[in-house]
Amino acid sequence: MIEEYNMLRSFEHLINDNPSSKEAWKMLTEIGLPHKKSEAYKFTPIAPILEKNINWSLEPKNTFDEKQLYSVKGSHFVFVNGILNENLSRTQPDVSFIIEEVREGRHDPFSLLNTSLASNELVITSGTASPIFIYHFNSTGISSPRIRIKIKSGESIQLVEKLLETNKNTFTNSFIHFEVAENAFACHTKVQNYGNSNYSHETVVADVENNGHFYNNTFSFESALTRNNLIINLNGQNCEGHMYGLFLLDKKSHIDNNTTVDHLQPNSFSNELYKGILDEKSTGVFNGKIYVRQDAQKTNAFQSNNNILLSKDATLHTKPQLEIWADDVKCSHGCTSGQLDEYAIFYLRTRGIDRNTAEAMLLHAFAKETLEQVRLETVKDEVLGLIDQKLL
Amino acid sequence: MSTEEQILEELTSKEYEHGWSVDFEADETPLGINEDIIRFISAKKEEPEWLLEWRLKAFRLWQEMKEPKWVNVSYPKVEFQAIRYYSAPKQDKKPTSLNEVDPELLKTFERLGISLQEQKRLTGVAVDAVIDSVSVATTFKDKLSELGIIFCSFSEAVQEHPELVKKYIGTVVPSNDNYYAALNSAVFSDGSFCYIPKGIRCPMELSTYFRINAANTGQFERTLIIADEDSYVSYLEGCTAPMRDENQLHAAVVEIYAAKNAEVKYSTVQNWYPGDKDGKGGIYNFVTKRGICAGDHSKISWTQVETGSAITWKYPSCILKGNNSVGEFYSVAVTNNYQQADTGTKMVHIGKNTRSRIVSKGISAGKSQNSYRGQVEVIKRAENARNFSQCDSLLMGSLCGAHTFPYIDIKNKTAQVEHEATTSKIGEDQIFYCQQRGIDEETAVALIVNGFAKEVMNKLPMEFAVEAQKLLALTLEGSVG
Repeated sequence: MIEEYNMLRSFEHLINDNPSSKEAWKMLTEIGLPHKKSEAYKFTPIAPILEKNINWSLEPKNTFDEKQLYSVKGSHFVFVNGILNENLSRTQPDVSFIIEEVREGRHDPFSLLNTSLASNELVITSGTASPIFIYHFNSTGISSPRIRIKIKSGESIQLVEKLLETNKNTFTNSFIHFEVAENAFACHTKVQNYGNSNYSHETVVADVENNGHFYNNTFSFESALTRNNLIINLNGQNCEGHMYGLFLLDKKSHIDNNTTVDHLQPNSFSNELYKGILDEKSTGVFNGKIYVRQDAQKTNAFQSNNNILLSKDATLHTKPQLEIWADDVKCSHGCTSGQLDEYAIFYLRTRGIDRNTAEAMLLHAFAKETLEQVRLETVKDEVLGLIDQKLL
Repeated sequence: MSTEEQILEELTSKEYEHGWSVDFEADETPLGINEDIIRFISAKKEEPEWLLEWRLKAFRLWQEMKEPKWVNVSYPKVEFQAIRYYSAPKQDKKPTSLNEVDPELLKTFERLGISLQEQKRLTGVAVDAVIDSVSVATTFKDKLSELGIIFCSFSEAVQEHPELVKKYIGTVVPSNDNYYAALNSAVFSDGSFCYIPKGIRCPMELSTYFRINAANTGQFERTLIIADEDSYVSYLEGCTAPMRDENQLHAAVVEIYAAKNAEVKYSTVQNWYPGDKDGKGGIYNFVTKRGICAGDHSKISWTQVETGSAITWKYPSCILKGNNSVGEFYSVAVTNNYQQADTGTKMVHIGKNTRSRIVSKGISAGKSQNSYRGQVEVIKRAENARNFSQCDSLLMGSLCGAHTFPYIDIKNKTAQVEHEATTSKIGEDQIFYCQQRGIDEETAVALIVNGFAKEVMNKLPMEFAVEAQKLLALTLEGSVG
């Protein structure tokens, strides 16, 4: 605990002056950052790792690169070191946004840290016909982007988020909150491909009202350590929550995907599919929680997690978790871990395909299933490209 | 839904069958725990010095330990100073045959449905019965000893086979393993001991019956099963307790050691008093059970039917150390009224080509909470490990809960691990299908629940399967989801 408190102290001068930030900071110093024995961070001892690897006083570099933006018509928001840079951003007239003072967020340690350090919150209101892109160019020790997306009743949005760590030993602690009103639709896609010395803790929260749909796609490639907290609250009836994820890791990458879907009202549906391919010395963690509260009768909730280990030094921890307090429900989860099927490889080799290509083909097919819900071709192509680059 | 309420009402009003107590004179310690009590127990048992030291060491460890908080059950703090750690039905001298056993005691067993005499004659099951804290009778001992099999009470084993006890005690469950195992190591009063020599296939089922009779008593028994090379044994355990308003603690330890090519099958039908329909009273069943497949090609199989106890908190586990060793876990856990269960297993794959299989069926009714918590761990050098886990939950009534917490930790790429879980209620279409064929609703539910649990029930030895099915029917009679 002492060590972690030291780390917190190095943030003390960065705390914002507004009441929410101060309050959050006060709570954070009371509960502290998660330590080794915290159940939620059992396989990702994040605080000591950050303590050791992050240079908190890192000088920012000018790292904006026009070429990193998707060449797609839409609204492009550019964050530099956690703060929206309006000069670099290019928005369409159909999107309206304001900058607000940061409000109270969730009460877990990293959300509190974000609330304490985020100077402002970008609030995007209104659904748009054209997609929204958010880029993070981070080069300082810690960046704390804070975003809120309000999708009005009957509207829909596509949002793609991309984090570009452009300096070594940086840490990003982001918080993005979706408010999905009745009959609204939101699709959030994240592509995570950082360097091997970049660290991040990313929280995504969605509050979904009656008949609302929320999709999340998370594609993770290289990073020193990434923790994804995805929380979907199905607050209304007939809601849908969809979670798709792929982690294709090599080197010493470490990914921890922690997802929670909470069914609070009757007749909702959730579906989750996460796939992992672990090579070299990488570590993959998956913890998927499904809560079905007492009122949430007629809930259907499904979860699946499949993993392939390619190297003898790769490690996998998976913990699907169902907690159910309602009786008239259908819930299931399945998870598997294994290696490539030798018979399938043999089949391909009898047809003149060499071993490496055969393996790549099988892995490609395995991974591709998680891409089904990505509707923007450019993003889909980018992810497919990354998959090929890793596999071939 | 009025029929449902009516049926649930009926179900909750079902009284606990084994809820009587018998007054025999008991020999007991005062309430509470301290080093003197431990010395007293040890002296009472005429134990050698090393065992007393072992107990005291465990006690000192226990005092420094904290009660774990991660479990998904809630209960008021256990007052360890309000428990009596030793209570024995008073006997003037040790019985050498059944004829000398206190007739009152034999009647107790008859009421339990395990007339020792009858069992001895008809079923050929060797029984070791433990009341409160001490083992009162062991049947079929002579016949077993002809084969070199040792089956006796733990205290007898300490006297007669100290070398075996000393060699194996605490090797599978070390005394500092967990809070309740440490407590048990300090104060265990009796239990069963079993040794199967090399190459022997035990010709009959070995069985232990546990019963808590005296009030304010905790039962802390310790079972040690050693299966030497190429041997086989099937072991049964059953438990009951009288109805009392206070909660009683049962903290047992079971250790199994399987050498090369040995196979041990351990079956439990746990029917401790679950408390009344308002959740008052009942047994806290906090048990540590673990087996080690130490030799190559060895196998340990756990089968449990859990219907009783206010709180069940146990994870019978297998450490698969030998190459090609096999671990199995089959469980049916039923909770009703205010019962809580947090049970499951742990499979640790260490050797090459090890295999494990987990089948867990949870049934929750009333206002109960039923959790499955399991871990499958494959360490780095465990080549070609294979695991299949399945945990299904059935919910009856809208006030109960079912929870699943499976942990899967893999460090070897050749491991093939599968886990699946489902939660559902009894489908109306299933009941309709049965009713169409002239089966009334209640029988249909029994049929469906039995089908749900069949995979596990099939693993029970004959003698227990009948009892277990009866128990299942009794606990859930007529409850329609």
